Amino acid sequence: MSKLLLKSLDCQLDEKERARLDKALAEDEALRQMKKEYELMRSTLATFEPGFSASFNENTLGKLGSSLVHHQENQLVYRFILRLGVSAAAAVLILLMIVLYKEQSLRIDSLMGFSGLTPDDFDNLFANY
Amino acid sequence: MKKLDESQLVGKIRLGDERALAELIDRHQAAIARVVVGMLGNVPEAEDVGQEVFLRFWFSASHYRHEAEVRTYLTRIAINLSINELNKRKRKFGFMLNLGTETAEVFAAKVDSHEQLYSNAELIKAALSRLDTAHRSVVVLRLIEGYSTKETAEILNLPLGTVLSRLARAQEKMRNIIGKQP
Repeated sequence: MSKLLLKSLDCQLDEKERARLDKALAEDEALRQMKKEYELMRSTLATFEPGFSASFNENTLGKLGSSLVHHQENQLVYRFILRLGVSAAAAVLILLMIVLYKEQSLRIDSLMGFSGLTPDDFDNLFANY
Repeated sequence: MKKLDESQLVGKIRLGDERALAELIDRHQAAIARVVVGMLGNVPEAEDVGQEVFLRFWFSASHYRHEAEVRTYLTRIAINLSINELNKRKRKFGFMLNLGTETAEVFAAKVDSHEQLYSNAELIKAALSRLDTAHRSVVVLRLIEGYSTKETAEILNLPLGTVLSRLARAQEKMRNIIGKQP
Protein backbone atom coordinates (compact mmCIF):
# COMPACT_ATOMS: atom_id res chain seq x y z
CA MET A 1 0.00 0.00 0.00
CA SER A 2 2.96 2.34 0.57
CA LYS A 3 3.68 2.22 -3.18
CA LEU A 4 0.16 3.41 -3.90
CA LEU A 5 0.51 6.11 -1.26
CA LEU A 6 3.70 7.39 -2.89
CA LYS A 7 2.08 7.23 -6.31
CA SER A 8 -0.83 9.33 -5.04
CA LEU A 9 1.60 12.10 -4.07
CA ASP A 10 2.77 12.60 -7.66
CA CYS A 11 0.07 11.12 -9.88
CA GLN A 12 -3.65 11.16 -10.35
CA LEU A 13 -4.91 7.77 -9.14
CA ASP A 14 -7.73 6.06 -11.00
CA GLU A 15 -11.03 5.55 -9.16
CA LYS A 16 -10.26 2.00 -8.05
CA GLU A 17 -6.82 2.92 -6.72
CA ARG A 18 -8.17 6.00 -4.97
CA ALA A 19 -10.89 3.95 -3.28
CA ARG A 20 -8.36 1.29 -2.19
CA LEU A 21 -6.01 3.90 -0.77
CA ASP A 22 -8.77 5.80 1.04
CA LYS A 23 -10.01 2.58 2.61
CA ALA A 24 -6.52 1.60 3.72
CA LEU A 25 -5.89 5.07 5.13
CA ALA A 26 -9.13 4.95 7.09
CA GLU A 27 -8.24 1.58 8.58
CA ASP A 28 -4.48 1.76 9.05
CA GLU A 29 -2.99 4.19 11.57
CA ALA A 30 0.58 3.37 10.47
CA LEU A 31 -0.25 4.27 6.87
CA ARG A 32 -1.77 7.58 7.99
CA GLN A 33 1.41 8.29 9.94
CA MET A 34 3.51 7.40 6.89
CA LYS A 35 1.45 9.79 4.74
CA LYS A 36 1.96 12.56 7.27
CA GLU A 37 5.72 11.96 7.31
CA TYR A 38 5.97 12.04 3.53
CA GLU A 39 3.93 15.23 3.37
CA LEU A 40 6.07 16.89 6.02
CA MET A 41 9.24 15.82 4.24
CA ARG A 42 7.96 17.13 0.91
CA SER A 43 6.82 20.45 2.29
CA THR A 44 10.20 20.90 3.99
CA LEU A 45 11.98 20.19 0.72
CA ALA A 46 9.73 22.70 -1.05
CA THR A 47 10.93 25.47 1.28
CA PHE A 48 14.59 24.75 0.54
CA GLU A 49 15.99 28.19 -0.40
CA PRO A 50 19.76 28.17 -0.63
CA GLY A 51 21.43 31.08 -2.38
CA PHE A 52 24.72 32.02 -3.91
CA SER A 53 26.88 34.78 -2.44
CA ALA A 54 25.83 38.41 -2.80
CA SER A 55 28.59 38.95 -5.36
CA PHE A 56 27.50 36.03 -7.55
CA ASN A 57 26.33 38.22 -10.41
CA GLU A 58 29.46 40.35 -10.35
CA ASN A 59 31.74 37.29 -10.09
CA THR A 60 30.00 35.61 -13.02
CA LEU A 61 30.48 38.69 -15.20
CA GLY A 62 34.12 38.85 -14.10
CA LYS A 63 34.56 35.22 -15.09
CA LEU A 64 32.86 35.98 -18.39
CA GLY A 65 35.44 38.70 -19.04
CA SER A 66 38.35 36.31 -18.57
CA SER A 67 36.52 33.58 -20.54
CA LEU A 68 36.07 36.02 -23.40
CA VAL A 69 39.81 36.81 -23.37
CA HIS A 70 40.56 33.08 -23.43
CA HIS A 71 37.98 32.60 -26.13
CA GLN A 72 39.61 35.32 -28.26
CA GLU A 73 43.06 33.84 -27.68
CA ASN A 74 41.79 30.42 -28.69
CA GLN A 75 40.20 31.94 -31.77
CA LEU A 76 43.52 33.58 -32.69
CA VAL A 77 45.42 30.31 -32.25
CA TYR A 78 42.76 28.47 -34.22
CA ARG A 79 42.92 31.00 -37.06
CA PHE A 80 46.71 30.87 -37.08
CA ILE A 81 46.70 27.07 -37.29
CA LEU A 82 44.03 27.18 -39.96
CA ARG A 83 46.03 29.66 -42.06
CA LEU A 84 49.21 27.66 -41.58
CA GLY A 85 47.40 24.49 -42.60
CA VAL A 86 45.87 26.06 -45.70
CA SER A 87 49.25 27.52 -46.73
CA ALA A 88 50.98 24.17 -46.22
CA ALA A 89 48.29 22.37 -48.21
CA ALA A 90 48.62 24.93 -51.02
CA ALA A 91 52.43 24.54 -51.04
CA VAL A 92 52.14 20.73 -51.26
CA LEU A 93 49.59 21.04 -54.05
CA ILE A 94 51.84 23.39 -56.02
CA LEU A 95 54.78 21.03 -55.51
CA LEU A 96 52.74 18.08 -56.75
CA MET A 97 51.64 20.04 -59.81
CA ILE A 98 55.26 20.97 -60.59
CA VAL A 99 56.33 17.32 -60.27
CA LEU A 100 53.42 16.19 -62.41
CA TYR A 101 54.24 18.81 -65.06
CA LYS A 102 57.95 17.94 -65.15
CA GLU A 103 57.81 14.16 -64.71
CA GLN A 104 54.36 13.43 -66.15
CA SER A 105 53.87 11.17 -63.14
CA LEU A 106 53.18 11.24 -59.42
CA ARG A 107 54.93 7.93 -58.65
CA ILE A 108 56.99 7.80 -55.49
CA ASP A 109 60.35 7.89 -57.37
CA SER A 110 59.21 11.02 -59.23
CA LEU A 111 58.16 12.63 -55.97
CA MET A 112 61.49 11.72 -54.34
CA GLY A 113 63.43 12.96 -57.39
CA PHE A 114 64.80 9.49 -58.27
CA SER A 115 62.99 8.97 -61.56
CA GLY A 116 65.29 8.00 -64.38
CA LEU A 117 68.03 6.82 -62.02
CA THR A 118 69.24 3.20 -62.23
CA PRO A 119 70.90 1.10 -59.46
CA ASP A 120 74.27 1.81 -61.16
CA ASP A 121 73.70 5.53 -60.77
CA PHE A 122 73.36 4.98 -57.02
CA ASP A 123 76.56 2.91 -56.95
CA ASN A 124 78.41 5.70 -58.77
CA LEU A 125 76.90 8.28 -56.51
CA PHE A 126 78.19 6.61 -53.33
CA ALA A 127 81.43 5.21 -54.82
CA ASN A 128 83.51 8.08 -53.47
CA TYR A 129 82.31 7.74 -49.90
CA MET B 1 17.55 48.18 -18.12
CA LYS B 2 13.89 48.28 -19.19
CA LYS B 3 12.01 45.13 -18.17
CA LEU B 4 12.47 42.88 -21.17
CA ASP B 5 10.76 39.59 -21.81
CA GLU B 6 12.92 36.48 -21.92
CA SER B 7 13.20 36.26 -25.69
CA GLN B 8 14.31 39.90 -25.94
CA LEU B 9 16.83 39.26 -23.21
CA VAL B 10 18.20 36.21 -25.04
CA GLY B 11 18.34 38.27 -28.23
CA LYS B 12 20.51 40.85 -26.48
CA ILE B 13 22.74 38.15 -24.99
CA ARG B 14 23.27 36.78 -28.50
CA LEU B 15 24.48 40.22 -29.52
CA GLY B 16 27.00 40.18 -26.67
CA ASP B 17 25.20 42.48 -24.23
CA GLU B 18 26.67 41.74 -20.79
CA ARG B 19 24.00 43.80 -19.02
CA ALA B 20 21.40 41.42 -20.45
CA LEU B 21 23.32 38.51 -18.96
CA ALA B 22 23.41 40.29 -15.60
CA GLU B 23 19.62 40.69 -15.81
CA LEU B 24 19.21 37.00 -16.70
CA ILE B 25 21.39 36.02 -13.73
CA ASP B 26 19.28 38.19 -11.42
CA ARG B 27 16.11 36.51 -12.63
CA HIS B 28 17.30 32.92 -12.46
CA GLN B 29 20.10 32.60 -9.93
CA ALA B 30 17.75 31.56 -7.12
CA ALA B 31 16.39 28.66 -9.17
CA ILE B 32 19.88 27.63 -10.26
CA ALA B 33 21.11 27.81 -6.66
CA ARG B 34 18.32 25.46 -5.55
CA VAL B 35 19.26 22.97 -8.24
CA VAL B 36 23.04 23.15 -7.83
CA VAL B 37 23.11 23.30 -4.01
CA GLY B 38 20.43 20.61 -3.91
CA MET B 39 22.65 18.37 -6.00
CA LEU B 40 26.08 19.22 -4.57
CA GLY B 41 25.28 20.42 -1.08
CA ASN B 42 26.43 23.73 0.35
CA VAL B 43 30.02 23.51 -0.88
CA PRO B 44 32.29 26.16 -2.46
CA GLU B 45 32.18 24.37 -5.83
CA ALA B 46 28.42 24.98 -5.99
CA GLU B 47 28.98 28.65 -6.76
CA ASP B 48 31.53 27.80 -9.48
CA VAL B 49 29.06 25.42 -11.07
CA GLY B 50 26.36 28.10 -10.83
CA GLN B 51 28.62 30.58 -12.64
CA GLU B 52 29.47 27.99 -15.26
CA VAL B 53 25.74 27.50 -15.96
CA PHE B 54 25.35 31.13 -17.01
CA LEU B 55 28.62 31.16 -18.93
CA ARG B 56 27.53 28.08 -20.88
CA PHE B 57 24.28 29.85 -21.66
CA TRP B 58 26.18 32.92 -22.86
CA PHE B 59 28.37 30.91 -25.23
CA SER B 60 25.52 28.70 -26.47
CA ALA B 61 22.80 31.36 -26.66
CA SER B 62 22.84 31.14 -30.45
CA HIS B 63 21.75 27.48 -30.16
CA TYR B 64 18.84 28.26 -27.85
CA ARG B 65 15.67 27.78 -29.87
CA HIS B 66 12.94 28.85 -27.41
CA GLU B 67 11.56 25.29 -27.42
CA ALA B 68 11.93 25.20 -23.65
CA GLU B 69 11.63 28.10 -21.23
CA VAL B 70 14.94 29.78 -20.37
CA ARG B 71 14.60 28.54 -16.77
CA THR B 72 14.17 24.95 -17.97
CA TYR B 73 17.11 25.30 -20.36
CA LEU B 74 19.31 26.68 -17.58
CA THR B 75 18.12 23.95 -15.21
CA ARG B 76 19.12 21.30 -17.73
CA ILE B 77 22.61 22.80 -17.95
CA ALA B 78 22.75 23.04 -14.13
CA ILE B 79 21.76 19.40 -13.65
CA ASN B 80 24.28 18.17 -16.22
CA LEU B 81 27.12 20.24 -14.76
CA SER B 82 26.21 19.12 -11.23
CA ILE B 83 26.22 15.47 -12.28
CA ASN B 84 29.64 16.01 -13.92
CA GLU B 85 30.90 17.61 -10.72
CA LEU B 86 29.57 14.72 -8.61
CA ASN B 87 31.24 12.20 -10.93
CA LYS B 88 34.48 14.16 -10.73
CA ARG B 89 34.19 14.20 -6.94
CA LYS B 90 33.47 10.46 -6.93
CA ARG B 91 36.56 9.74 -9.01
CA LYS B 92 38.71 11.93 -6.78
CA PHE B 93 37.35 11.10 -3.36
CA GLY B 94 35.35 7.93 -3.97
CA PHE B 95 37.06 6.08 -1.15
CA MET B 96 36.10 8.84 1.29
CA LEU B 97 32.45 9.29 0.32
CA ASN B 98 31.16 6.89 2.94
CA LEU B 99 32.54 9.15 5.63
CA GLY B 100 29.62 11.50 4.94
CA THR B 101 26.95 8.90 5.54
CA GLU B 102 26.69 9.58 9.23
CA THR B 103 25.92 13.26 8.68
CA ALA B 104 22.16 12.76 9.08
CA GLU B 105 22.55 11.69 12.67
CA VAL B 106 24.30 14.89 13.67
CA PHE B 107 21.04 16.82 13.68
CA ALA B 108 18.86 14.26 15.40
CA ALA B 109 19.48 15.63 18.85
CA LYS B 110 17.92 18.97 17.97
CA VAL B 111 14.36 17.65 17.58
CA ASP B 112 11.90 16.74 20.31
CA SER B 113 9.40 14.43 18.62
CA HIS B 114 9.66 11.76 15.94
CA GLU B 115 7.35 13.75 13.69
CA GLN B 116 9.56 16.83 13.93
CA LEU B 117 12.33 14.86 12.26
CA TYR B 118 10.47 15.11 8.96
CA SER B 119 10.27 18.89 9.09
CA ASN B 120 13.87 19.43 10.17
CA ALA B 121 15.47 21.07 7.14
CA GLU B 122 19.04 20.17 8.10
CA LEU B 123 18.16 16.55 8.60
CA ILE B 124 16.25 16.42 5.31
CA LYS B 125 19.25 17.97 3.49
CA ALA B 126 21.55 15.43 5.08
CA ALA B 127 19.22 12.61 3.98
CA LEU B 128 19.11 14.09 0.47
CA SER B 129 22.90 14.14 0.32
CA ARG B 130 22.94 10.40 0.98
CA LEU B 131 20.92 9.58 -2.13
CA ASP B 132 22.75 8.56 -5.26
CA THR B 133 22.89 11.02 -8.17
CA ALA B 134 20.02 9.45 -10.13
CA HIS B 135 17.60 9.62 -7.20
CA ARG B 136 18.81 12.98 -5.96
CA SER B 137 18.26 14.65 -9.33
CA VAL B 138 14.56 13.70 -9.45
CA VAL B 139 14.01 14.89 -5.88
CA VAL B 140 15.74 18.20 -6.61
CA LEU B 141 13.75 18.88 -9.77
CA ARG B 142 10.36 17.63 -8.60
CA LEU B 143 10.26 18.35 -4.88
CA ILE B 144 12.64 21.29 -4.47
CA GLU B 145 12.34 23.09 -7.78
CA GLY B 146 8.67 22.16 -8.24
CA TYR B 147 8.74 20.88 -11.82
CA SER B 148 5.96 18.48 -12.76
CA THR B 149 6.90 14.84 -13.20
CA LYS B 150 6.54 15.29 -16.97
CA GLU B 151 8.89 18.29 -17.01
CA THR B 152 11.33 16.43 -14.77
CA ALA B 153 11.32 13.54 -17.24
CA GLU B 154 12.00 15.95 -20.12
CA ILE B 155 14.85 17.72 -18.34
CA LEU B 156 16.52 14.46 -17.38
CA ASN B 157 15.67 12.87 -20.71
CA LEU B 158 14.06 9.90 -18.97
CA PRO B 159 10.76 8.07 -19.44
CA LEU B 160 8.00 9.28 -17.09
CA GLY B 161 7.74 5.84 -15.48
CA THR B 162 11.42 5.93 -14.54
CA VAL B 163 11.00 9.35 -12.94
CA LEU B 164 8.00 8.14 -10.92
CA SER B 165 9.76 5.01 -9.70
CA ARG B 166 12.95 6.91 -8.81
CA LEU B 167 10.90 9.50 -6.99
CA ALA B 168 9.10 6.86 -4.95
CA ARG B 169 12.34 5.02 -4.19
CA ALA B 170 14.12 8.24 -3.22
CA GLN B 171 11.38 9.25 -0.79
CA GLU B 172 11.35 5.78 0.75
CA LYS B 173 15.11 5.94 1.21
CA MET B 174 14.98 9.41 2.74
CA ARG B 175 12.16 8.40 5.09
CA ASN B 176 14.16 5.36 6.16
CA ILE B 177 17.28 7.43 6.78
CA ILE B 178 15.34 9.98 8.82
CA GLY B 179 13.29 7.32 10.61
CA LYS B 180 16.46 5.60 11.83
CA GLN B 181 17.37 8.62 13.90
CA PRO B 182 17.43 7.95 17.63
